[in-house]
Amino acid sequence: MNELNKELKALADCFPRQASARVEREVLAGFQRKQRRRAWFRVGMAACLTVLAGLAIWQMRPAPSPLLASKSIPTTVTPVTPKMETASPMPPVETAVRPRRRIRRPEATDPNFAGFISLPRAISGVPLGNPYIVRTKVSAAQLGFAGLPVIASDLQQQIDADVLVGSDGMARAIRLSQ
Amino acid sequence: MTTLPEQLNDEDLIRLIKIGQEGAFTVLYRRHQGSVFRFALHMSGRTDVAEEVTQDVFLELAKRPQQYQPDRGNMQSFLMGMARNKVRRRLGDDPVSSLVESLVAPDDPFHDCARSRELRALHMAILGLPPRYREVIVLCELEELDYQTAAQLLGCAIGTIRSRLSRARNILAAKLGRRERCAI
Repeated sequence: MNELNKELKALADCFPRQASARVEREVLAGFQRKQRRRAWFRVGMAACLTVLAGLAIWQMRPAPSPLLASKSIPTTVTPVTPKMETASPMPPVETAVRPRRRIRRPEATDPNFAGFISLPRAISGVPLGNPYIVRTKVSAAQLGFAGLPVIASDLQQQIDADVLVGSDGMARAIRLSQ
Repeated sequence: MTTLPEQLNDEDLIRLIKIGQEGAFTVLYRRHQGSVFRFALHMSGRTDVAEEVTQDVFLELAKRPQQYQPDRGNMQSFLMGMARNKVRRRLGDDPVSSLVESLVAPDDPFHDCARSRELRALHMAILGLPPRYREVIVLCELEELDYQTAAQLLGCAIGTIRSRLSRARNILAAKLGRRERCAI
């Protein structure tokens, strides 16, 4: 090893081997600052994603029933008790249509549709259009088949009823006559 | 049994840093800060510049740890490559200013050294070298890196490192008024 090599080695040994502790403190503080910023960024992103998901769910919510939206058919009506031979009166009849969230139920404003009960199994995506009413006789058993809760001793008893038929020909609601 | 960060290699530490592990970053800093600091110090001749460069290098690593790619070289080469760019940017094309400032710097690194006069002269001669020669002297002589690592760091061939080192030693010997006889 010549003299220059020795001097280079001695020169390397003269200088400090490490940065000062202040540099380490600054660097670690910078790392912590960055982690805090990253955490806030993640919180912000999570909040944005939550809001977007909420909006998407709001947009994808089921549309209100055309029957309920276009025409004022009450889902809960005053009990209609048909004349029957049995002594026991028919209990109050409630629709089996499950109330949907965020759907305001309109009041029955059209007197022609007063007293109609939505048929639970006749929910259709087709708009009601221009409905018409058919007066007919139905048995208690048929009412039960249509999804209405019926308590009657004679299921074959015929009852006068008005059936609301939509423009697609499907029975949408029924009104029992006295 | 958990593995302490001190026992992990650089790749594993970087993975932990990416998920925000401060302990892993501390270990990586303490493992490599010395070489980064000394390289910057030898290249600039100034302690304040070397500390700023060291700080910038590790803050950059904390900001973008994904920049390090193990298949392109080891961590030391990566960090010293960053330090090299930052020193160049910091000093610009005016190494004379650093020379002057280092001469009047209050923290004289040679005050404890024997033969301080010769070492000071050698230090001045190194700082007066063109950057491409100074780099190889610092890396291969002062930091004692092997030629392959130095070539990887500087982005050139090993033969280029050898020739630059030979040339740099000859320049130093000439500046110091000696005859360089060591074969590289």
